[in-house]
Order: sequence, then C-alpha cells, then structure tokens
Amino acid sequence: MDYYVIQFLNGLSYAMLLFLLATGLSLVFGMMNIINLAHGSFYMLGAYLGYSTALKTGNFWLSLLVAPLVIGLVGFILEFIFLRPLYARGHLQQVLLTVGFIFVIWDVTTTLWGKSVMSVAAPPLLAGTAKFWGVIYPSYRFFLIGFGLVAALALWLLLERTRLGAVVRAGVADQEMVGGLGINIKMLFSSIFAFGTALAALGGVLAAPVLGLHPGMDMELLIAVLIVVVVGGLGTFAGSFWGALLIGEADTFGKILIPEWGLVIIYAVMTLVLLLKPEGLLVKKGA
Amino acid sequence: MIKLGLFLALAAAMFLLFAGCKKEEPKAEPPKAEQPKAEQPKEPEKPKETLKIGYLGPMTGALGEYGDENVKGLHLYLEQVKYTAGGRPVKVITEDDACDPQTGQQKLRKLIESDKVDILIGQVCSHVTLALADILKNEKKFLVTTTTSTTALSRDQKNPFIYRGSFNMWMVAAPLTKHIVANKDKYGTKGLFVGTDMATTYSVAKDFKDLYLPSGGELVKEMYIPLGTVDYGPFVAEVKRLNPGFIFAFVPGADGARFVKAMGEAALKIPILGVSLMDDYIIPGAGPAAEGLITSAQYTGSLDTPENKEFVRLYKEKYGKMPDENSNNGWDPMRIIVEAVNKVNGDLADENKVREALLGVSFTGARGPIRMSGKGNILVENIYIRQVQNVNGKLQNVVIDTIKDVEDPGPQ
Repeated sequence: MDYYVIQFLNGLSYAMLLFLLATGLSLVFGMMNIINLAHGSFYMLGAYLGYSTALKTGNFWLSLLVAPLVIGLVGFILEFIFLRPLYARGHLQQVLLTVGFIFVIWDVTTTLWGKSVMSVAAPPLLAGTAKFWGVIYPSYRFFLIGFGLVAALALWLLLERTRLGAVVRAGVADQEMVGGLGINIKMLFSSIFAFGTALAALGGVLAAPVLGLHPGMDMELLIAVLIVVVVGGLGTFAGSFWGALLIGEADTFGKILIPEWGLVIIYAVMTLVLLLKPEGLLVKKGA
Repeated sequence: MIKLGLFLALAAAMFLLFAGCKKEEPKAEPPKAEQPKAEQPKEPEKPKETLKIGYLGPMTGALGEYGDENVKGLHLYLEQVKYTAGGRPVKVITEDDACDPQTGQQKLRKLIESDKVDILIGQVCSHVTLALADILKNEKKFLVTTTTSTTALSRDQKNPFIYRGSFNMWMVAAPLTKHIVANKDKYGTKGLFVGTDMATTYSVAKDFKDLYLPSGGELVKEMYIPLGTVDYGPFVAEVKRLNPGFIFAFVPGADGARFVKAMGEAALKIPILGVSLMDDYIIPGAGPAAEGLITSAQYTGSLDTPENKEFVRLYKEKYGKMPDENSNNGWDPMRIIVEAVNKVNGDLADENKVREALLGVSFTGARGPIRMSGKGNILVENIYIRQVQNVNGKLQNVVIDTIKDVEDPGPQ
C-alpha cells in the first residue's frame, strides 16, 4: 500500500511542476493568443539563474525569489521589444519568434554556464526524508507538493477574487472589450507575459534540486506541458491544475505499471480526452 | 477553440522540426598551419598539402558536452605536435551530427565531398556511427572513433574502415561484473539491473548476465526506464520495494545524475555499480548522492601516471578545468591518427598501408598503455574500477582496481 501512496506522491510532485509551467503558458495563450514555445527556455534560464544565486549566496530561498523576478523582467522586455510589433500579424510569425527565442536562450545559457550537468542541493532544512502518516518520503518533494498546492490556491484567489484577476479573465474572454473599457491592454499583455515567464522560472528553480540542470532541459518538459494545456483546456486556470494532475499521475503510474508503454501513456490520455471533450476538460461554455 | 487546438498541434510539430536543427558554429580553432621544422621532406621545393581531419560528433543537444570535450582534447594534442602529422600541416574541420543518424550521414557526405577530408575522427552516439559505417566503406575513408561505444562494431558489424579509440560496452561491463562476482561478501547475490530503455542497454544487460548468472547470482528484476523520463522518483520507489543487494546500472548522461540523485533523496543505502553512469563530469550533477558509487571506465582524470599528469596540466592550463573521459577521448585517439599518419609519411592513398599503420599503433597514452587490436578493431587498454570518494572535500572518481590490457575478442 505504501508503495502506491509513494507513487501517488511522486505523481503529485511532478504534477505540481507541470502545473506551474502550464499556468503561465495557458495564461499567455488565453490572453494574447500566443503559444510561447520558448516557455521551456525560460524555465531553463530560471533554473540556471537560481543555481548561480544559490551558489553565490548559499541561500536557496533567495534564489526562489531572485530568479522569477529577473526572468520576469527579461520576459517583460522581450515582449515589449519583439512581440508587440507582431500582434497585428499572424500566429505563424509570433510562434516563429518564440522559436527564435529558444535558440538564443539556449546559446546564452550554454555560453554562460557551459554544457555540463549541474545540481542544486536542496536547502538543509529539506535535505533528508520525512515521515507523514507513516509514509517515508523525501522532504523536498513534500515541500514541492505543498508549495504547488499553496501556489495554486494563491493564483486561484488572485484570478477569481481580485480586481486584477477580473481584468485578466475579462482579457481572456474579450480583449477588445477590455481595451474599450479604458484598460491599458498593451501594458496588461506585457505584464501577463512577464508573469508567465516568472512562473516558468519559478518552476525551474523548484525543479533543480530534483531534476538537476543540463542544457537539454528546456525541451524535455515542454511537450508534457503543452499536453497539460491541451488536456486541461486552453486558457483556463483550473484546466492547467487538473490537467497537470491527470498527466502527472498518468505518467508516473504508466511508467511503473506498464513500463513498455511508458512513453505513450500521456499521449494516449491526451487522445482520449480530446476524443471525449475536444475542447479540453475544463473549458467554459462560450469561451 | 478547436481551430486553435489544431493550430497548437501544428505549432508543436513545427517546433519539433526546428528543435532538430539547433545549430552551433563549430568551435574549432583556426589551424595553426606552421610549417614543419623537424621534418625533412624529400622534395623540399614542394610544400606538402594540408592534411584535413574531419571531426564528426554531437556539438549540440543533450550530448553536446561530449563532442565539445572531444574537440577540446584533440586540439590540445595537435598543439603538442604543432599541428603537423607525417610532415603535413593539419587542419581540423568540425561538424555537428546532433546525435541524429540522418544529420550524421549528411554531414559525413559534406565532409568527404565538399571539404575533402583525408581521415575522420569523432562519434559519440552509437546509432549514428552504425549509420555511417556503409558510407565510410564505400568512400574508403577511415574513422577513428572517440567516444561511441557500441559492442556491435567490434563484433558482427566490424568494419575495415572504423578503428575505435575509446572502448566498447563489453570492455567495461565485463570487468565490473567480475568485480561484483569477486566481492560477493560485499554485494550479495541479489542484483537489480537498471538501464535506460535503448538498444545499447540490452547488450550491456547481456554482458552483465552472461558473467553474473553462471556465478550463482540472482537477478530480482531488469528495470528499463523509458527514454525521456524526467522524474526518477517512481523508479526509486520501485527499487525500494524490490530491495536488492546491489544495483548494476547503465544510465548514461544527465539521466544518470538524476537517477543517483533520486536514490540519495530517498536515502536508500543500496550499493550502485555501473557503466557510463558516473563519469567525472557527471559527479557535480549528482552531488553528495554520488559518494561511494562504483563505475568502470578506460580513463579517469585522477589517474596517477606521468602521462596523465602532463595531460591534466596542459588541459587545465588551456581550459581552466579538469579534463574528463571525453576530453581524453579526443586526446588519445588524435594521437592514434597522428602516429599512424607519421608512419605512412603523410601518404594516405594506399588503404592497406593506412590500415597496417593504424593496427600498428601502440603507445602509453594519458589513460595508460594502449595498442590497436585487429580482433575487434578496437584498443587494448586498461579498465579502471573507480569509486566516487571525497578527496579533500571534493568528490571525484578514485581508481580502486585496475584490470590490465582488456581486449575485445572480436567477431564470435
């Protein structure tokens, strides 16, 4: 029994990472209609920046703050300079631009940090294992799960219960109308893009103690995150959360119970969901 | 919304295409085409033509680091011989195969047809090397490999134009298995095989089982981890449930670091032994969890020989860090080429003479004494059993046993 509880927790901690990445991607998509394929690159950049911060200051918690702020700012600037002129153009050019970001960020990262595999130690407080309800499990992963759940709650409150959240949701539903109401839609776009990249960077910092750092990490989560977004429903917050849970658990149990099919499980789940609910699990009517 | 979904899928497909073509300018240095000083050409009025050596290996992607180090190591060696071989100035042309067989074939054709290279060096990914084999045979171009380690190329797919300057999986897996069998009191007879789910892994598993099972060893499970697995937690939970006496692992690259890290995270104290698992450069990626891990390899940076100390000194001087297995896989194989080319006086026209020269190569390299064997067209060399130990506060591979002159038996 313990074995399955532990596997469930493994799925949960993986899901929380997916969720942090998917939310940003999904928000940016819902609002701006842009698929930011460089999302994984911001995740990687965040992880590396977190690594350097943790190395310089010896403080993991500080890197949790610094990396998202800096990468968020980078996202803001990139949106401001490069994406803005392209809003009037088609999807293709926008996506191509984000693909361009991938190459540039990859080169910047490997130039600054090299191509070696690196690791970040979990903070001393969370280094060992902990026992909860009789289950022994790595403390850091407990933290990851807790952090993800708290972040999900905070984001939900922000989006559903605040004025800012209302503006964002309105923007997802109908941007022109929001612009007509006197809200600076351009500024809103930049902020959302920055927020999305900051969340990706946060995911990177959080992932580093479990997954380590290497130059290929930008791509390895991106596909899974795209699947989460599609399964959950494009542009919905709740969709990212439940989509991440579904994919995280499906991937974990799939790889354990039928390892020969480990690679296709999440694609099979996606296909199934799209057949039954082509718009994703949690798309609101009329969206 | 459905339209958008379709678009998203299209975009993802497009992006995958692009990701495949990630490019990087080769970092090869401009050749220092100094005229040979010591050499006494027979026709002094005619300067000898440049010897073009093509390096083909992954410079980008997950294994880009391997190619990078190969190239660093081989240039360092060429510097020592002032970029001359057989009286000819040497130029290296670097191409990125991105660890993809198709790209590898295209780049090989480019190197042969448009760059007109005389000889090739390189290769990291076995499936790429296997895809190049026929082209090399048809074009009659020799390749001295740097890192690629499939055993097939020494056995049933032995190729008269491929000579291996590194090792093959059998050469490291067999000595490590013998180490396990010889230390039954330490590891017990309840083993677990863990490997990344790819072709090479099955051959490593066979090499391990061939020696381990007849010794009375028991295998609780063979665990194959799907390629592209991001989180190793689920597999570590499985290891915990099986509770083996030891683990024999083949999890190369960054994945190895993750596996070991996840084992440490769960605080499992099961001895891990492996091949291509904890190479020097991976240790920082696994952190403290790597301590105590045992691996076998043909080289390690901490080797205490005059040849290696000199190599390490030169490498540190130039690149400011410790060399690893892959840097050495550039250094020693380049010396194989240079010595062979010296032997034929720079004339590579006669394939039989070149082959004879390559097979005659024998010297003490940074990794120890090596010679090229015709049995499997691969080096005969020492294999070191290494353990990750804390040396003055820094984790590094330390040699705990040396198996001398390991030779692949060749086609069976």
